Amino acid sequence: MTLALRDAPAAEANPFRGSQDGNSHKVDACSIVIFGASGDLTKRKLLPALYNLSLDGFLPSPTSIVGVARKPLPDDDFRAQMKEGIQQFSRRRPANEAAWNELASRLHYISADFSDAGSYEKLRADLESVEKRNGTPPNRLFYLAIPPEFIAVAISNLTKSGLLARSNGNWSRVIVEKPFGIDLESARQLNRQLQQYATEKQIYRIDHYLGKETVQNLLVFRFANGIFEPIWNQKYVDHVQITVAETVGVEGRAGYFDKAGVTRDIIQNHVLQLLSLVAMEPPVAFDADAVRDEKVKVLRSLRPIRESEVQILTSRAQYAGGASGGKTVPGYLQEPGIPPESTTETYAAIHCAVDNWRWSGVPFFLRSGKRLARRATEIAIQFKAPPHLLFRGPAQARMEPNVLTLRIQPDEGISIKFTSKVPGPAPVLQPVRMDFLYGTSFGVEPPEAYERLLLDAAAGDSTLFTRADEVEAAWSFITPILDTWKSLGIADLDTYGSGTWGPRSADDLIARSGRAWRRV
Amino acid sequence: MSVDTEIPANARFGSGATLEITQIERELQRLWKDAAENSTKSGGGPVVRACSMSLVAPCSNDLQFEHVATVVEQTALRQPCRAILVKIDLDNKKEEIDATVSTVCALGGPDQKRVCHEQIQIFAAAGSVKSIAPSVLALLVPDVPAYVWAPCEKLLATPILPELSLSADAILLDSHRYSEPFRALERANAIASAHPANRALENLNNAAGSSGGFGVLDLEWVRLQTYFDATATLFEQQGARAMIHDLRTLRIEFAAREVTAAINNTADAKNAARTTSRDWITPALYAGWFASRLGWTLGGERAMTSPGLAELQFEGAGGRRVTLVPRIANDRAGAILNIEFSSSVGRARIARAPGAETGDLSVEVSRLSGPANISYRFQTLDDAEALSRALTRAPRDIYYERAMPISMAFAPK
Repeated sequence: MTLALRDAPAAEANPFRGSQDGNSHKVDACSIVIFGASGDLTKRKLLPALYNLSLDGFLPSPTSIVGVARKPLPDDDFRAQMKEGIQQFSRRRPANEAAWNELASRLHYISADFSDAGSYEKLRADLESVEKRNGTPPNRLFYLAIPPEFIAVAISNLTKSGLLARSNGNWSRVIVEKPFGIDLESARQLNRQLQQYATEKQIYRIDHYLGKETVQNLLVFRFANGIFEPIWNQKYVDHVQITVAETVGVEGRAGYFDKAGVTRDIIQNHVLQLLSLVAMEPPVAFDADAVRDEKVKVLRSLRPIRESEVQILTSRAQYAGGASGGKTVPGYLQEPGIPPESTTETYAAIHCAVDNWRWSGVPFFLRSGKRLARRATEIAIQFKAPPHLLFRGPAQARMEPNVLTLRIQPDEGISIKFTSKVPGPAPVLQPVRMDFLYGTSFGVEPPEAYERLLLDAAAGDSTLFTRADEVEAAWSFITPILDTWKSLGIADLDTYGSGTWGPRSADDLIARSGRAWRRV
Repeated sequence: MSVDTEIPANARFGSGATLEITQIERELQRLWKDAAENSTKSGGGPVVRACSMSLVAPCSNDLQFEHVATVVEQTALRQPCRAILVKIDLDNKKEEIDATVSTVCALGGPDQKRVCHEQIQIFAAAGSVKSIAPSVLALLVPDVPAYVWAPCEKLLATPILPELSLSADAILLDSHRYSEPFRALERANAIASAHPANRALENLNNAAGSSGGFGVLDLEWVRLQTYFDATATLFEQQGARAMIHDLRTLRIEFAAREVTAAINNTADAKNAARTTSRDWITPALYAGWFASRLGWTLGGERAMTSPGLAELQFEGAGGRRVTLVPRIANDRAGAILNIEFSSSVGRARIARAPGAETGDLSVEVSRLSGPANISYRFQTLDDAEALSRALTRAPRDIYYERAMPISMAFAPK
């Protein structure tokens, strides 16, 4: 055929890489080194994700996976533990024996104390030996699934031992788990420490929400369709609600959660990330910096909430005892491990304003809580009513605003609510909902968020990871609220019944603007 | 996957030599409604209609039709589509055409969610072939891509495929399954070249390129992706990258089974090659891919260097050449077993034992102390997976189109 063709991509170092197969993803073979390999995250999320990537052929064969933890453990015992994790938590189970055996042959365990500088020499030697054995080039992806207080010391030691050095076209990257600080000052300090030992391009701050299919689809939905962007602004949007609701309580995380609270745990990172994706301007390109530049602009446009406004524009509460999921559950202060005088919020709602041209006058209502009525994470964009109401009779009383809902979990999908005429002679109107659900439209299970993010990090694509300035901009908005709450003590701390949709003060917060929370 | 609900229509929609398109559409709407009501009654949750494409699959015999229906059902689970299966009775010269419609719901994924697709089955006698393409055109879902899958090789030689392709975005082949794969590819390429969408692009002299146009997608090319990835991985090993631009020869060994005797019959080597045409397509596609990725240009015709071997010479210093070598092995006929790359500085190899899922990638470069060797797991795709992956690609694949002239040069003469 002699046909007009789009030209091939620019010449690559490896001319055999790259294809038009939408399922292929360019990843260099590397060593994925997991610090904190004995922890829950490794067993529940990371290894199942790596197994699925391997099963789908996304991990180049000579990739090595190395677990690092303090406790000495033979490779085979580590493999057995990880296989158990896959059998229990993988989205595809039971494990395919051939695929598992192949992955297991490249799965190793190294005992090292990540807080001890001396351990890193041994780690380096052991890692080099694993790489040599498996034919893995010295590309390294370190996943720090360790307590936040050890992050800086681990990166410092990785650098000092030369493990983060790059040479001869090989790379070293490090994935850092949240929390990225507990307030603005600690976040800045952590960023300074990280950047002292690694470049920003080597640091991948992971927020697993960004790996979810619907979150990624948000960008596609907005910027690959021509019909939504023209109405995605203050002229047509009445307000935006972002909800992250959980039915569970603290569930064995009492120690961590009571120090953090739902605002640090969920709103500062997940919810503000969702807000920035909803509100951002179109990036100049779909690459890491262009996307993150636009996101950080949104975070910087958030109108600061002054101390005097905190009780009007925010709500915080703790759950009381009640019934959740048909079971009687204790109140937050009665949960094991929670001090009876704790003022930590298990629910928070914030009325935000994005001060820019696009969103001027459009309130963004954020809420997140534990022990709520349903588990649901979604973004709802409520549009303004038509400028002239043609249908005004009593039979048209059910005319409701258009709502576009992007559901992130469960049942990832998108729905649009619009008004329709009920069949019959009279002009009776009724809201109807049109749904697009990933699960019932595409029979294949979308990959887990960690699969996508691990693959992206190995491919050097940091679009779905949080940059230092994003973290700091988010903390700049949240820290003054937290400080005011702290100074207020229990003065504004509300309660809500377990299994409900949150406290009265949150209903009041949104009612003050003449709006109401959606029933999710 | 298990099909849990299939709501076939009792009615048929043929009226002599024409199909009642409006009635088919109406029946489909009724079926969706029934599916939703049945699902709600049984507590199965709502039935959601989603459609990202029309998939047309014409066939000419019962056995193929059954296989195609199964593959389409599995594919629809991944790619929500309207499936239009066409069964043509080439022996029946009457002017008869009929259709049935059904909504097929299956439980898929670990959560066993209901995924439904609509299926229209058209049965046409050879005498009413001319009614097929207009009927299919009227039944395509508006605004979404349409693909014509050609599982039945016999139909490639009839006007039906070019006619169906006129309103489609791509034609899908499975060259490995054809007895004359090179001829089938040639026909498909001719359909693409003559397609109005491609001719329009040519007339626009759109040198900068456009993603539009009508394309040819070969499921065997999709299955070969794992070998393409293996090759890329191989040349990322220490020392191997230096070999890339100095590569001189490529030797591809592939499995031959049924044709063993013919291949080994040195007296009838030419005939052997012809009779084993099907076995040669997979290595030929790989060879085309490899050489085109390196920008090699053909310097000669296919030659049989020794009985059963096919070789192509390429332009450039040092005598670049690609040799395909059949080997008796207990594996899928045509499956690639060994690929040897050699250059002046060293050698590299992809080796897979017959029937094995994993193989070895090895590199031996003279200035390195010892050979590097890693294991590699090759992905095996069933027909539904291969079809589904093909459907996620852009209709035109530049790498495939660039490989084609080289791959086709291996066609047995």
